[in-house]
Amino acid sequence: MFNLTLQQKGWLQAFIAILVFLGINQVMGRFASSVLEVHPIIYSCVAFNSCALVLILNGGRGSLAKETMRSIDTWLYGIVLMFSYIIGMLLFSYISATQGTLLQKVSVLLGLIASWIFFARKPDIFQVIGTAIITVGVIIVSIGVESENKGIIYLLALLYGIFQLVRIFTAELHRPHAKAAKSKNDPKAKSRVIGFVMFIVSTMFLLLTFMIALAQELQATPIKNLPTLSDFSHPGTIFAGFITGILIVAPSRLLEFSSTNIIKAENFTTVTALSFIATVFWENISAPFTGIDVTDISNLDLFAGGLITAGGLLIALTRKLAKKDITAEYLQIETQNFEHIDDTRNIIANSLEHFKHDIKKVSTALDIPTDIIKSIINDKNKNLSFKEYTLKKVSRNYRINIAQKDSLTGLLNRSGFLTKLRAAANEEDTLSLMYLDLNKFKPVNDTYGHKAGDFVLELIGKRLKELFPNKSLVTRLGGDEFCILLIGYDKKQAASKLDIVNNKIEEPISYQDNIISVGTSIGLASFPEDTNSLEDLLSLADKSMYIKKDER
Amino acid sequence: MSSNIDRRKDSGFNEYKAYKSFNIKEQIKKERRSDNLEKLIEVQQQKKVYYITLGLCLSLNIILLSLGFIGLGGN
Repeated sequence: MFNLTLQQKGWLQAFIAILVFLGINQVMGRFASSVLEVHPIIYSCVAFNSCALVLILNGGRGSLAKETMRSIDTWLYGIVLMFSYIIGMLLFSYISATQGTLLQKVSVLLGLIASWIFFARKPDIFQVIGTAIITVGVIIVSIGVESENKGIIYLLALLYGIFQLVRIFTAELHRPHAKAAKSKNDPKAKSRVIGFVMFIVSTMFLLLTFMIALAQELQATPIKNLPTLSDFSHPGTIFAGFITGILIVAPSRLLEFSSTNIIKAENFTTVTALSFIATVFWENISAPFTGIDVTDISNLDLFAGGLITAGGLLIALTRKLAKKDITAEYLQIETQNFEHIDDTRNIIANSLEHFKHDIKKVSTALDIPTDIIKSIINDKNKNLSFKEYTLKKVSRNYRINIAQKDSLTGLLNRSGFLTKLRAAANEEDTLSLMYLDLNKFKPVNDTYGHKAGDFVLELIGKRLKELFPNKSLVTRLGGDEFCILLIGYDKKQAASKLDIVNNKIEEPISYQDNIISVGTSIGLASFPEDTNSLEDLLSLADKSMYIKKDER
Repeated sequence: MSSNIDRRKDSGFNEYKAYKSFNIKEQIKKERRSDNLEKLIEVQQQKKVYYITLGLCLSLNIILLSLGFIGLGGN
């Protein structure tokens, strides 16, 4: 029905995650704590656990299970989520949820800076203006905070923002999820991976909560707000958490991982700026049914919330107008695998040399945009490398289109020929090899110069390719030596082609008002008629060519 | 004429079927091709991790729900 691009899908997922699921989740949390009197920590543990179960069941058996459990990214996401939750709880114990949520939007500014410094994703003018508006909103909220513990509140808000940001970046960079999204593009694999991540999160949370509850039992007077063992059997906490996990947390996590992977973490963080308006909306809509009190928002907070929402909307809605920076899709600042930097630079340097610094040709051969090549050339700090997925693709293209090709004629080179020879032997039972050495070529170089020599070699290459356009392999072995592998030809069939090749090469060549003519000596050897060894085929044809040359 | 390359491509290994199969041990015993054997062992390991995780997750959910029902009964 709707034909959306990948980027549009990513943005739509972010909007649904924040405006629908995050908004409902906030209201559900308020309903659970004020009406059902749930314990918030245990409520979240149960929600994460049921979320994990439904995602794992939905994912079914398949790949990436082992990788997700072993990946450090999974455990990091769990730890960060746990800490951000604990810091959030501490923050909300000092100030209202509205002020806490608005203050936490400092993460948009931090996200922009982090993506610029660590991922070389330079912000555009709209991102800068939008982030500036959001930051002004955050400053206004912070001015309106009335408490004796302002210092602690600011510190907690900052830490809360940092942990939320790290969580979103970890979701973007989560390697097994990226693999499921890119190389497999399998929704079930994504669900399985996120299910496993949430299982780790919920288990860590449950263990910590259970230990706190046990410690509380040993206390003479348990600490208020911390869970006790009796909270684990509170029906409202368990059932509300279970349902929230399945209906809200599970789709919300799927959307968060998928969206951050597409639109990148800093853009997803920007959309979270709309959480204020989403919460206000869902609170007002649900109040008649849930019985919760609609949050009383001061005029100052309302103004700040409006600014933060406006900043978020400005960034989100101007994405199409902004000049797309494609660098981040292909490149990253490498901090661990320094050999990736060497590989990236070597591929580009060798490719440029191969094509005599023609960036467009390099771009076509490696299948990457010219801007990416320019970024690597201009990387004076030498810290940029291709992303892992791109590096694999570029290396393969380099091997096939450059390392195995002759830069002058575009034909196969010796290395490429030997690789293809082995493959050809697997395909066909008979092969014949013509080994060509040009006659009268040295005088061309001596008389007309090397440029003329190159011109002749290039033209001979073209003529041979015209004679054998399809299955046969035409190769420039080096200097003025060529060979043609005739796949599926026995010796008799190949010999019938010798005169045609000879005549084609002897056709006069016109170069700068001069007529040049060269000839050739051709040696012939066949597999398996002359030899059973592929290694000997080339040397037999070479010997045969020298016999022909001596006969001249 | 069937070439070596064709024969290599036509290994008959299907990852999707392998994950759905319940008799992977039997398949491992019968498999003679080393590349397919590696893939089958990988599938077996992935399935093992999946079932262990699913089992643990399901158990935790059942324990928590049971505690909720106990609390409901107690009230």
